[in-house]
Amino acid sequence: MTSRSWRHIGLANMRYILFLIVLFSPTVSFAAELRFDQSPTTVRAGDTFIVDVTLQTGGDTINAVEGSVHFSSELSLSDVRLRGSVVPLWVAPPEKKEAGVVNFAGVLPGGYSGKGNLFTLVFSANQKGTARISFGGNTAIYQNDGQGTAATLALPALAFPIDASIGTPNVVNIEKDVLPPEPFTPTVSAGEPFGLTGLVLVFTTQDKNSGISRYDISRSYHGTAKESDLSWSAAQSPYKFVAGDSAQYLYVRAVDRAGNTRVAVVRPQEFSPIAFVFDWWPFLLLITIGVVILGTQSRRFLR
Amino acid sequence: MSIDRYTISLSIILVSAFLSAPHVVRAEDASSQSYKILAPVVTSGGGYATSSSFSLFGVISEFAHNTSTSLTFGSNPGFAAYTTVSTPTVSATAGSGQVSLSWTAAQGFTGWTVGGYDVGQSTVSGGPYAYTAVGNVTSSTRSGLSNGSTYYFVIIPKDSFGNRIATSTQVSATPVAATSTTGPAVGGGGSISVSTTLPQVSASVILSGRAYPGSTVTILKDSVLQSRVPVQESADFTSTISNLQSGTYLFSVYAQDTNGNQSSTVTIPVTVVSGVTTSVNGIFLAPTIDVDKVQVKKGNPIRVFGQSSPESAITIAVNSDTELFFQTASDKYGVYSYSFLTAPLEIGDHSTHSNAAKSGEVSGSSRQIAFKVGSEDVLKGKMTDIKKSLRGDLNGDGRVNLIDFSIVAYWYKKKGFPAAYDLNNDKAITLIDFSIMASHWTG
Repeated sequence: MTSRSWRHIGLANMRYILFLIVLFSPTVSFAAELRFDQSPTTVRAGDTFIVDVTLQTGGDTINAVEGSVHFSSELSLSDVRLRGSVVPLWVAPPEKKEAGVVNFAGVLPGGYSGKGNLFTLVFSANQKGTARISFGGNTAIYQNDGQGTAATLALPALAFPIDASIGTPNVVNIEKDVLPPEPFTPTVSAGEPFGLTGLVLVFTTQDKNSGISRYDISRSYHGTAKESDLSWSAAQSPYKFVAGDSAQYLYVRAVDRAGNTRVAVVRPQEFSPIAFVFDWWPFLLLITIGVVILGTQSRRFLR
Repeated sequence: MSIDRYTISLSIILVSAFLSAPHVVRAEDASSQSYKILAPVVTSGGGYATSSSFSLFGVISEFAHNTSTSLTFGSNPGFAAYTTVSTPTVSATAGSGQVSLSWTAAQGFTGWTVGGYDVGQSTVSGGPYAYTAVGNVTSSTRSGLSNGSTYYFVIIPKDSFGNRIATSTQVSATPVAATSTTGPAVGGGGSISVSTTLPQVSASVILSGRAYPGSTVTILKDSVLQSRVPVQESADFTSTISNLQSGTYLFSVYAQDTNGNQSSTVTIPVTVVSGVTTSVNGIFLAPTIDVDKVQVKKGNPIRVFGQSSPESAITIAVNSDTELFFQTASDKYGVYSYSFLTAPLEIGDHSTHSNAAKSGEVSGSSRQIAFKVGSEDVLKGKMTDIKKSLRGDLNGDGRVNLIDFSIVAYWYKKKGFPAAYDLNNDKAITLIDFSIMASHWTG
């Protein structure tokens, strides 16, 4: 009897029932979602393709995201790109640290609501089969509520076939990064909050295309030294001042993964006679010439 | 095809199951300073029926606003649960024969969620517009446009049934002919596109909107302070950020009112193109909000106040088991203040927030302000005391910015950190600590 009645409901009446459900629904709410958007959708062995990791906040405003992406052995990760990312500050930029896993953690100060790209994974298809990409159990987003409350999050996985190779493999279009990292301003701070003594230099910036590869540091008594004239060594923020750093200009160089560079300079933290001479030598030279001329004139006058 | 009794039975079962779900909106007690409604039943007239396994309520409907009014009270069907959304902030970037639009997601109030958007397009300022449904997205590129002609756009959020709920501020852009090309793709089964190395011309972004008279608007680019703009009596502000490279930037805008209270932050992703100025119009900053007591004796009044755009309609929501809504207006200085009796509120923790509406535009939600209902009144301290306890300001410089971020990042997942850096007191530095810091970010 029951099964008969279900069969006899019919399409029109089912629409009526669905209408009732929607009508009686007091709220229509959507959970936040992290998802994969693959392009192109058809992949053959040997192809290179991209997978955008995108965030849809639903009705939430979120300000932090962390987690991991797991991919099956049919795929090799060629690159991770941050172009168009809505995450301005990465605590841990997306990076493969173990086989088949990309970890990430980022912060969106002030909060973000809407849809946006977190990062883009560039994959190569190794072999025919079924590829799987999913989020790890540690994946979470946090609301901008001042409490760090985890938001309800949907994490749909992606599975797709890799067809047998035919002809020349497709290669993803990758625009060459010709732009330097964003301008930035290093800040001198007390080392105590970092568990360090003395002064530290704090710095960070972004690269809108390929991402930051590393930071270098150099020092000079000259405030307008050329990048190519300086001797650089790798550095991390916070950089702890070493002997002599306070009396010199410190140069911080951000290098993106395409090799483009952006240099920022910090003035000496204490008076340095050498730096003073480098800074003011034209003015000092003029004063010296003036003094010499005046001396000469006054000797003539005295005669 | 007629609806038989089986269908009706199934309908009742499904609807009953749906209505018994935790997110069902029920009428709650409501009150103002002059009247009180206890145990209201939201119904179309048929009452409701219950059993031990289900509840069946009548249809929730609002046949008219502001019915049953007198000089001392007004009874609104729906109990003032108005379906409003914040109007999107829209950016327009001109390209060759096209304009790229992006906008902030419309934020629904009282549990309401946006179902999609229409893009309105016109060659005449103010319309009429030709509308295109673009789905539930926050960007759209309008192509097939004439270079040199100015186009005007509005964004319209819609509900789940396709009803248009709000209209954004108009934004305009003039497509220009391309001055550069992308390198040709290599043919065959695969290709690699090599971009031409173009001379980079800096781009600009113009941000404009409404704040509060006498306030200061702060603009951050990718979380870093870019400018502070003093706001005049009109409450309107405009700021131009120049010397940008091509790319996507996250602009964050907030205001600090004349009492030093900070608004919630509006964050707008903007993709800029070399040599092109992008306009971001219609930033409607949410009101600031504060309360005069951190704890109020149950039954006593508590005052909610803040600043907004002048002469705006202000909706104050009190989040608690008994959700309350109040409406008031800001004065010509943008100041609003509203006191309500706390008799309907349970003893315990509560919070309140507000939003503003003016000229058809609706702001997003203000920050949430917490207060307690207890056995005695406890007045709130002065602003200077509050500033001292700005969460996330780890180096004590009165700001929450990249230095504080660097400090937490340094201790991330490490041991031996100072206890003060563990913002949620869970004995570890995790992303939750970053989240707490990010919600208090000043740049």
